[in-house]
Amino acid sequence: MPAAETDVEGRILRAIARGAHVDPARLRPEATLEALAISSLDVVNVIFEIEDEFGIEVPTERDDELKTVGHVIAKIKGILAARRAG
Amino acid sequence: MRRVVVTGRGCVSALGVERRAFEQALRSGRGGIGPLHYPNAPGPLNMPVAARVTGFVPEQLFDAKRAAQLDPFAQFALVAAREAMAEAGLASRLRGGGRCAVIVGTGVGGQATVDEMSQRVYGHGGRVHPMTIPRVMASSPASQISTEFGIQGPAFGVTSACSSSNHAIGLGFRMIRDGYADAAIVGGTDCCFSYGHLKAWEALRVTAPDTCRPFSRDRRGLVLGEGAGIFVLEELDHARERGGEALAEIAGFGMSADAGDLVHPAVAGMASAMRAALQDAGAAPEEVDYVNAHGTGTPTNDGMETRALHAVLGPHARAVAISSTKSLHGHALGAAGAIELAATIFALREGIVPPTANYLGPDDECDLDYTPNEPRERRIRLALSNSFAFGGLNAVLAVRQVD
Repeated sequence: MPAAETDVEGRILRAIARGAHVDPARLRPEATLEALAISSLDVVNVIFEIEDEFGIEVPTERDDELKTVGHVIAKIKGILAARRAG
Repeated sequence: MRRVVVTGRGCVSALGVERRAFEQALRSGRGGIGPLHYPNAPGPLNMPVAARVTGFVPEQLFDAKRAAQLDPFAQFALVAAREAMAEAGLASRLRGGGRCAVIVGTGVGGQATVDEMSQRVYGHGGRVHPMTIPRVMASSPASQISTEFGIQGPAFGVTSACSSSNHAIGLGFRMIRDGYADAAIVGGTDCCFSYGHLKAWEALRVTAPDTCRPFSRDRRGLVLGEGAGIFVLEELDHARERGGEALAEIAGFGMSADAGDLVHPAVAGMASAMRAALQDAGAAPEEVDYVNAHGTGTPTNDGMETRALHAVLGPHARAVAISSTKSLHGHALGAAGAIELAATIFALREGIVPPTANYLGPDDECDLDYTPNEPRERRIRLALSNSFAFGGLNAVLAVRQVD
């Protein structure tokens, strides 16, 4: 899958790259955060970047579900969809 | 008794981003005080001069991820620590070791980060960057040095305003001498040049409008500086066994508190810390060849410090070389004592007393030999380095040549 299949996905990936200081080309959906050396502190930075990018609030009490890049994309897409629906 | 020596030195200051440039400036008497330009200040700032670090480019020193974790005060400390560790040449021995301490002083901590946070929160009602706490904490330099070099012994920050460095260095010295560690990375760092913090200094009315003239007539106040000084201390045999060069010996450390006025120093407190340092070193006042004075350039400090020097050294006070290198590198607050220890070790090793720059002539309250304006050759066996902080917190180091 190309790095930015949709505009939303591209924006999420770029926010992850900014927050965790990783090369966006490495952010394939199946890549685990562990393999990308993205620490829990990096995840906090990533969430900050995503919140800024989309003007949303990301609840952080259940970050253990975020094991892969795909998980992050899905979670943010879910929040955006809920916002549209709400 | 275990003896403690310096085996590595690093220095970032207005005189340069590495120790060699710093020493070259001391040798020539070239100062680092200049006009303070503060672009994009949201209001007026009555602080015409400062001693800023120039030529320090964080992008060249840290990768982006690391830089995001570092306030400038931690950046200065890390760069000075790298230089000190390189000179000592024992990084590989300390990695993973628990017998090395890291103790770094700071007076004001991550002021640039505090300023940025305040602007976001109060100015724009915005959110605060997640790296704010790791950047702002006063122990950040100690953490970062410990992490970069893999040092796993006791590590923490200390703070006592303008005496922070000397307290940190003195604690590291005592920990080694008393057997709690075999080596210690010690020193101090500060970067106070954020608008809000400068306005606070302006309000206190102690900064000079022209320049820093310690012990001189017409002295009008201190000039703020910034930077870091970091040292590798080692137990003497530990250094010798590995072939490390003992550059100078930390011979004694004295502390006291005035328990009096918040900003007006007390002669008795200053004298008590100097006497304690000499006693700790087992040295008589007559053995002192050089005093790197606290010498802020404020009307009050310099007169009081002169009286304290008379009280401690007696008639010998007139035979001692004294200088305040703050006239060259400014008052670096929590980094002051460490930068001044670098100057003191330079004086010991090179036999050159760095000058008190900008000196116009004697003052009724200041009647000693302050090495005015020109460096001077002199053999120095024992030196004192004074730090006397606001709040009456005094810390003095005694340093001697290694025999």
